[in-house]
Amino acid sequence: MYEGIRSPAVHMPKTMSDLVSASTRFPNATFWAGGTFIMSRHDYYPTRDSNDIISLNEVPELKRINRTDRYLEIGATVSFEQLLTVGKQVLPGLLQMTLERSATKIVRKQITVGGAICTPQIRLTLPGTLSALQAEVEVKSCMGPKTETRWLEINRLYDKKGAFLLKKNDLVTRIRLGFEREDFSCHIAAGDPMTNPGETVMLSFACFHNQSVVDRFRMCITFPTSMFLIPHEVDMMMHGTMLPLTTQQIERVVRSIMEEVLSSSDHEIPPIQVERSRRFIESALHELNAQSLSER
Amino acid sequence: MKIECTIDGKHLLLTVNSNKPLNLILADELETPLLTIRCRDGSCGNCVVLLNDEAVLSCLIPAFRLKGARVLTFEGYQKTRFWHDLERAYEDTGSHPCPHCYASKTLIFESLLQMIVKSESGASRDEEPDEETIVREIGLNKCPCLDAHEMLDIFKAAATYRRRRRVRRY
Amino acid sequence: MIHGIVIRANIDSGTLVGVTLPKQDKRFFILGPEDVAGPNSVEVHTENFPLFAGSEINYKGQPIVALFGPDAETVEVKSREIEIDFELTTEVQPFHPKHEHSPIKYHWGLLDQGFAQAATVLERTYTDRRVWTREDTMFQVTTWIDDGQLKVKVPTQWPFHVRDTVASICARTKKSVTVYPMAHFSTKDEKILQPSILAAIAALATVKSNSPVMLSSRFPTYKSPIIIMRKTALDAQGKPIAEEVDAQIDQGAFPLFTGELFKQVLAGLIPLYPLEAFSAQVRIVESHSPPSHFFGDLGYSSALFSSEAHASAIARQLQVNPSNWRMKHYGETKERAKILETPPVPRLRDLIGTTCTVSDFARHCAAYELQRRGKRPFSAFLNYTRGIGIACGAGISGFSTNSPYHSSSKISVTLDANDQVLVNSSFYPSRKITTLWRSVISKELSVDQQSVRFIDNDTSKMIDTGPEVLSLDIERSVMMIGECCKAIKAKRFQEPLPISETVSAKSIVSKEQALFSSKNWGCIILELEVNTITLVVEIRRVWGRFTFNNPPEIDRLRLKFRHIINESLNECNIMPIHREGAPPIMDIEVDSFGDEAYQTSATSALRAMVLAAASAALSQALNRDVSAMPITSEDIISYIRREE
Repeated sequence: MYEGIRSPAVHMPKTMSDLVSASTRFPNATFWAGGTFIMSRHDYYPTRDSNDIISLNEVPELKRINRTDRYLEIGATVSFEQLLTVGKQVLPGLLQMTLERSATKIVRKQITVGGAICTPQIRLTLPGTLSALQAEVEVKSCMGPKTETRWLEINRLYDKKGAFLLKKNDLVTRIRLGFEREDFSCHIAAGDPMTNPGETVMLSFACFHNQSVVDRFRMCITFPTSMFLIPHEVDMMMHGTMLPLTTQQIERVVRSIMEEVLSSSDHEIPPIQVERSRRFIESALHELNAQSLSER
Repeated sequence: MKIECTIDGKHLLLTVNSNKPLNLILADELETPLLTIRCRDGSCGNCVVLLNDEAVLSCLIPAFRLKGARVLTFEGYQKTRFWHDLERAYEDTGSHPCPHCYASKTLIFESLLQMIVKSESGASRDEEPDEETIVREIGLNKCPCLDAHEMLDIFKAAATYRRRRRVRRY
Repeated sequence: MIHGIVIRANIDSGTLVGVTLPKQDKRFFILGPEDVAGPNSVEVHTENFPLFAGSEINYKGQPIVALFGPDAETVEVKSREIEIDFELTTEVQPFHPKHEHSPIKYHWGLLDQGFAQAATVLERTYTDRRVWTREDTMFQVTTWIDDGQLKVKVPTQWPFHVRDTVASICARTKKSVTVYPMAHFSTKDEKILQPSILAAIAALATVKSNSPVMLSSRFPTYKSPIIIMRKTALDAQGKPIAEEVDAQIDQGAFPLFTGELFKQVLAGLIPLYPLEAFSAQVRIVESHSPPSHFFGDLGYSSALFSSEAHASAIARQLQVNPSNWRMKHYGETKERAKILETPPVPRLRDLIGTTCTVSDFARHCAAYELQRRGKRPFSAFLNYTRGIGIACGAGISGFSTNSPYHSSSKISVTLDANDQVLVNSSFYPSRKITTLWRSVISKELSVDQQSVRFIDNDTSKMIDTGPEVLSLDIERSVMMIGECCKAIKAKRFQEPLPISETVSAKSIVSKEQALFSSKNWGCIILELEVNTITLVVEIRRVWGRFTFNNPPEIDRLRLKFRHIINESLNECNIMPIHREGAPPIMDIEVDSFGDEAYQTSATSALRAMVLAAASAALSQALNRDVSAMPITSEDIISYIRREE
């Protein structure tokens, strides 16, 4: 213990109501799930005024993976590794792929789903995939004696630049996914979002089609510190389109998305991110075509 | 905060700040040679230790997670019999990690070997690691000294010794 | 024990206006230039730099003051309360040269005459960019006073420099300072000068507080960026006639080891093809960037990279297979032999032939060349982006034969009556060193290897063997050990034991003719691909063939080469991508020739070969001259978009 450096008090609530109560009594406390992002910040330790810690790991509701008739519900403190091991039969392929590629097993045992969604300054790979799968999150707002609970689409947690929009005393408790499985999905990433965010691009894409007619076309492009883009216009543009796509259709989609990418940022986007985005989108569409042709 | 834990077989009662990272605790409390690479953001992968027999990045583990935990550093691991499987694998293959990352990569290999043991005994639903998993796991340590084939050769050789060790127990 | 932290400048250039300390607290104290008892300067042979910045800040990261307190965490937190006011020098751009030293030149023949006869002139500029180690290498120094003796414990490659610096800064005699060197691993010579700087600061704190001090600091080690322009006159058959080379080396704010740097760079600049005329000019420049000098070598790898990349560029210009061009044109030159003496060139030609055969170089090169010519600009999917490159060279180690560092470099060997041998040297007895030295001593003196011991580690008993850099441990030191043993053998049965012999490096090198000599050749062929989706450069295969004079442990050498190749590729931003079922990425073989006891290192040559082969392969893959390494994403974008 060191004079001049406060040792944060660690609160370990055992139930949801204890958690809400702790959050109200200690409004400046830091919610702690896996702690990987918090501990990875250079200035976290040592600091003079460390906030108290509310550890979320003892609350059973947050650790559960639940299957209802319509949804798969995942507690916020479920680790990536737990989710992969338990959910192998039920997880969408895109989500499995994203979880496996996001980190090694050693680190996956520590990263939690809630933590990966709620990182304040940087957007990692999971939110984009959950957005492509149209996942929803349960948010509890702890405002004194009143607690408000609501379900939100995951893309409402972030603005176009990827900034996290929830308030300090909002807590993500569960994530839910529908059981409808995408007909085609792909996840492409290049770069390391933690060490080289200025060059990193992550693309998650899920396409639902019915007898070669596109029904839903969900894509999410993430630049870790500057963009979280879901091109909604493309979804409308592609609805009802026959697969495989023609060269002109591919070019039109790429052009449309790239226009949105370039117009969504106030300052100049590094050329490598622009070029990678373009190539990722093209590659994803060519893969979609290849799959639709092979299914015939 | 007072924390009871076991480090390299020694039962200790530590008085540390609750959010102090494990790698700093190990450097201060054990006076082990300070890990010479300390990126402080979990990106170099050089601070791997075994926490309750599982490999972790010690820079990402806060003190309050250590209650009742068993920590094994590389120095402690070298005193176990499991170390010999890797030592012999390094000799047989003629490959080994460079001195920079030797400790960390060895412990990551050990965590992969444990996956075999657990999957064969049915204790875990983990499958035996495939090539991609092995290369990715060792790649947690960013030192580029070993290429993929060397990693796989070392693992295969060590896995053979580890399986023989299990068979001899019965 | 008190703990310290170094407060460093966070601007590139400016004037220090003031340092505002945190609220008065008796547990802490600050050290600055006014506390230095001796001169505020770290001496390195004839060059020097300030320990603490005075009023002028010269580079980002320059030490300004040091703060000491009861423990490391509290000190780190307290250090954030220190306010430092600067007046910025606004016109300064950190990496632009601010001052140029007089160029050093070397030439033979008549350059103008050579260029007058040229049928073609090829001019290219090669850049080995600024690179640095991660800022996470932690240095830790402990100092204390024991019975009037100031003691220092630190991992260091140069314990006597630590001792001398501490003695000078603290205005003490050298005898009153003892250094205990610790085990270390520093591939980029990170521990050449930083330990001296930190030890001096910690020692000042110990003297001031009369208390043991532990000082930790992290600061990267930098490689000097080198820009090399090469202009070659070729005759009608593509044979080089004359060449002009201009090398600019940015050594940051305080150039060091400049004399030796020039010689190392020159050794790498002289090409392997004979020339009627050659002129090389090396210019050292200063800039507002951290001092950079040793980075595994002193510029040899950068210079050799430019030579080999240029040979490939000539072949590309002439539309000739680069391996065939080398086989035809590489030969002996007496002018080169004065600077760098190598094994016979026919041995290199055999090596090139072997490496080309195992890699099927001719076929790959021709195929990728055809595809390069058939490229469609801007298409992400219709172009092959693979390339294959070749490079070769000789490895060197140690300082040049007329280096002033040799005069202070000594080793002593003592044989006692029980056939026990004691080696006295300031080189840290790592496994590599002890294995080599034991092997030589055992062979020369016919003693058991286990009977060889190494001096206890502190400078009061050690002999100064100089800085442990440039693979001196495997070359000069082995030669010196060998000479000691020969001298002992001559006296063994004539004089009573114990017999002790001391040999200086100067006495060894004075027998050599050239500035450097090499006892190996290497050849690397490298195949890579630019992933057209992620725009990441991926390595496909590497073939390496080396011929070494009497290598002690071939397997260990092969492993070391694999490590170096992996590290060099990583440095070039070229990634290994594992494909299941694909053959091993690396195929490295080492063969032995000769029976001399002494080897030279291939480490810096290997780095150069990897860079040169990669640059040639990337030129083919991207259909542009790639002459700056490491390659960056901006480079790839500009090559793809065909921007100049």
